[in-house]
Amino acid sequence: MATRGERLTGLLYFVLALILIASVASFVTWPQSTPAKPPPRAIETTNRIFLTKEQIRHAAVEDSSLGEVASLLKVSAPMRYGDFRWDDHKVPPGQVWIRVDLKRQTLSIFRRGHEIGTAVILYGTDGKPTPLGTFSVLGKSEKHYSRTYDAPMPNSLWLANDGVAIHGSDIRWGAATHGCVGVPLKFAALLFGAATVGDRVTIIP
Amino acid sequence: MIKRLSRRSMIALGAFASAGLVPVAAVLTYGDLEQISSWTPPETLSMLLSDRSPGKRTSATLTKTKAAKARELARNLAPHQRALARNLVPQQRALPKVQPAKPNPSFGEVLLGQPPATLIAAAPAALQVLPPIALAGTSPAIGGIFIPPAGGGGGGGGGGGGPGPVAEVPPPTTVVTPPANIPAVPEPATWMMLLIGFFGCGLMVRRSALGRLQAAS
Repeated sequence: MATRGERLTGLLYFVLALILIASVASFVTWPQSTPAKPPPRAIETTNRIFLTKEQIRHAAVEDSSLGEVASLLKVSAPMRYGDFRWDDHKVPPGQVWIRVDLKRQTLSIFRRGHEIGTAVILYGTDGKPTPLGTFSVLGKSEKHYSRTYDAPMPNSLWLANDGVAIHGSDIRWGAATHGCVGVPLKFAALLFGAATVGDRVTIIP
Repeated sequence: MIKRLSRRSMIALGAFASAGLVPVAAVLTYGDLEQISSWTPPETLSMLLSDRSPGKRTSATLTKTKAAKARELARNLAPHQRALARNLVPQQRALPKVQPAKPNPSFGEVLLGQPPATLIAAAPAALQVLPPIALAGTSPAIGGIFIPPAGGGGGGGGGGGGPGPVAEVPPPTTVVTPPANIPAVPEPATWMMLLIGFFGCGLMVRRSALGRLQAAS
């Protein structure tokens, strides 16, 4: 006659044996299962992420303006205020397109579908919002000084006749503009050099 | 000895089993180990763009565009732009012209001089309309505080005038109203308390009975 403790120990052994058997069985059955198709990933080089056809198609469905994007600059970590990336190495000359993403607080400049620069931006407050939509660069002024706001606005790309521009600004957390799009000062100079009058600028909310 | 051995073996077996439990749990969760090993989050363009974003804006105060800020900005400019920016920063500030305030004679008269005759005439008439007010709780023997009607009139009003009849406000009678809803059936908490008490009684009876048995034996 087994005691109560012995019976309990026996039950414990039985349960443990069951678990062991189940784990071994699961190991055995794995090679037989069909291998899952890995999801498509972008082709990455040292500084650039080339999008796959499927990704481009998906992007076009999500946002029609993104259908033209062929590659992005590799940004490994979230950018901080005042950060920017610029790399137009081996990017062929062609149509330049600027995309301003207010929700993500970023600006990207594309040439022939390849991103050549990206930066953290400032945009208008709720009282003086940045206009949304598609614009074209109406004019450029390298050394603009705003009399209205008593502030230098170097490397301005004018988007509208009422004073809205993309210009160099002191990018820091918590700041906002009077409706313009502020970019880091060094980035503004690069952007000024790359963009020409008539280039398309898309500002999305 | 046997006991210690069995305990040791049990510990070893338990460790081994728990190690084997990990893949079992993984399979139960994901269904396929092949998928687990090669699983990578699917990347879309919008996800790639979101990854670089500093996040949604939480605070938005307008940029200060005063001279100090402009100077700070000029410091961050490229050397060829710095000279220009320095010229653009205002070096001096024009102060507004300060003039001594002139006293306004008409304003002073109204404040410091005699009030206009129309106001004096209107004051007693307005005061007589107001009913006398007595504070509640004061006994008639002591006499209530009241504002007498301005019988005397005069400058400022309310100076003279005899005491008028005191209007008493009866003390408020407190009526205790019962709560609107008294549940007909006891609440679960009440039931729980009843049951706990019942079990407690049972336990006490049982204990005393056992004690009596032990004392007898």
